[in-house]
Amino acid sequence: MTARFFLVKLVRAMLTLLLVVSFVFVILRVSGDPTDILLPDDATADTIEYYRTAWGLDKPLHEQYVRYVWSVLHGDFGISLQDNRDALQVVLERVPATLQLGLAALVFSIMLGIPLGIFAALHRNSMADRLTMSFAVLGYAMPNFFLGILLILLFTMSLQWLPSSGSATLWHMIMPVATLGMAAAGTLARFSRSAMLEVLSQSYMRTAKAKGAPRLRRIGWHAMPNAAIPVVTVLGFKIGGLISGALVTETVFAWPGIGRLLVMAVSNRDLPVVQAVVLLVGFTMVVTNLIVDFLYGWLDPRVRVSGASQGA
Amino acid sequence: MSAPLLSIENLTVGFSTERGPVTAVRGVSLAVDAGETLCLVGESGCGKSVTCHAVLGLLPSNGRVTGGRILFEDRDLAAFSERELERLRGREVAMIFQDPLTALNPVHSIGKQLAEVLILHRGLSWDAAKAEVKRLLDRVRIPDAGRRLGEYPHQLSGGMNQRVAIAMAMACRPKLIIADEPTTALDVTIQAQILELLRELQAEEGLALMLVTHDLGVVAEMADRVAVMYLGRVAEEAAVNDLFSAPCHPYTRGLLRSIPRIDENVARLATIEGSVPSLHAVPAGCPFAPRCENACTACVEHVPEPLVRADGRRVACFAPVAA
Ligand SMILES: Nc1ncnc2c1ncn2[C@@H]1O[C@H](COP(=O)(O)OP(=O)(O)OP(=O)(O)O)[C@@H](O)[C@H]1O
Ligand SMILES: [Mg+2]
Repeated sequence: MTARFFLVKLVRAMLTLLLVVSFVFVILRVSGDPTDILLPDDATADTIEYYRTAWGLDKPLHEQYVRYVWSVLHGDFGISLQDNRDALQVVLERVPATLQLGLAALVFSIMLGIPLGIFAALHRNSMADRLTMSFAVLGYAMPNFFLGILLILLFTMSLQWLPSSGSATLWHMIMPVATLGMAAAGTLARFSRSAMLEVLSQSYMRTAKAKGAPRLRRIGWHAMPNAAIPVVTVLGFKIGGLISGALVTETVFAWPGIGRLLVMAVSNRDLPVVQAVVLLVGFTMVVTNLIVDFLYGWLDPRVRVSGASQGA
Repeated sequence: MSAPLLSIENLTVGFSTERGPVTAVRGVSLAVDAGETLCLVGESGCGKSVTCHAVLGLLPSNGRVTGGRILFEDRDLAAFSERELERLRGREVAMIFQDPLTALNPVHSIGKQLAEVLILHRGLSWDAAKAEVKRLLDRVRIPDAGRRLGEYPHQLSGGMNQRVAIAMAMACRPKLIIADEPTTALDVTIQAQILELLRELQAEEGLALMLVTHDLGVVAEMADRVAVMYLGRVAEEAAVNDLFSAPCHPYTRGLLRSIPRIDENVARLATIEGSVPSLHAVPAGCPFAPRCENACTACVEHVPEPLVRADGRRVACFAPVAA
């Protein structure tokens, strides 16, 4: 029955992906004749005609669509106008850098936000709680680029401790990771705190105490798995935020990832690359959401079982 | 006469609230003998649950025992450290709560939750605990125990969950079980089954039961002795037959009159006039005086102390109901 829950989620994720792909197709077609946009202004009529045939633009729309989906499925996103290489290739080269930054920021936000939130909940209404939550709100409310510039001013300009651009060493990672992860850490701290408080007030926590379970066990075995359920949901939303945040952060710190690539591709009107980035980002979001869904089902037996009986 | 198993002496419990401090339990004395059932009755808010929670040190963070002693086998639980309480809870004194679904943890299977008590107090391994869990589930008559122990609370009915909670309370063979309205959240037929089960297990194990209830029918069925509480005090405490046949305190009489009876016209059903005062405005004298038919000047000015009468009853009243 658990398998059915996962299957339903998987099919839903596939449909979302198809939707993303179709959306990109529509946007590209609606925004005009691709040859006008994609080819240089001084292209000759022959060249334009050549590409129209090559790209199948002389075919009816539904045929174009099938062709497009087909090529996307085969990883064919066209040729980068900038350096005449396969667009997907250009994008994929940048993926490790972004992945490194994004994952590090994710780990950073989890390691910082969740313990802080739990700590604040366990010391509810104390000075420590208030301080932690002010810090969380600050982290959450401060725009990415602002925090980034602030850090550069402090740690690069004044103190001269950390490099501000590039990705050559581990030192280079510190500021971009903190910049990108801070907002998510703030949100996670706030959600972990409220989720934990909610759970601590539940009747089963009193039962656990009445059974003679020691405090650490009550927090670790009884409270945290319950509090994790809403936190994981938020984490899912935050991953989307991390991806868009990576765009800004990479630009501020000259981090050679897909965010920076996208900004450059847009300003160079390198549409195949833009398209590849957008699809890749969409793909990542769908996949991470799928993982979150699975995690959620794994954490919460109620979801797992009711999700299964829905399909039955 | 040997000392009672549990003896609550002059217990006072205070809460700090946004509207200032309140005293929810004011000088309650109760005794439960080994193997007997004491029922705690009274209108909502009179301090039944708070008294129960105080015994096991389960008061919420804004509540505190501010006076009195809670003697369990001559040890004062009110003076116990958290460590000592942890060793006592679930092992010597166990508790059953009102709503069985919310009282069980939704993310752990009932088997694991049951095993936890065994692991905590009896030092069993998971495997040994599992066998014992099956035995316990059989004991509280949950059919198909082997399969059920892998299920989660939301997959079981209210009655089944309460059976699990009872099994959990019984797991370490405690001497006393405190049950706070264990059947209030259940259907009538299920209520009867659960009470029946409690009574059987009590007889088999010889354990004492402190049972909170709103339902005088439950009292009649289960109790050896009854304590009637009103606004944080014990108004009257008596053997169950005495209490039902001849209530002494006007409040007890009022409660008994308000039981619907099949042989009487429903329209004549009496209720007690007025409402329970707020804890923020407790009357100076007898807390029940403003609603009492028998109230005299002494009642308004002084708090009546509970007096033990010749027949063993304790009544806190200046103007008791004439026998
Ligand atoms: N955490 C708390 N903070 C402040 N006051 C409280 C708290 N818990 C209980 N009280 C007060 O103590 C009084 C007794 O509450 P208690 O829960 O013991 O009532 P009860 O007799 O169990 O009623 P019920 O039949 O509704 O369960 C109530 O007036 C309640 O408002
Ligand atoms: Mg209660």
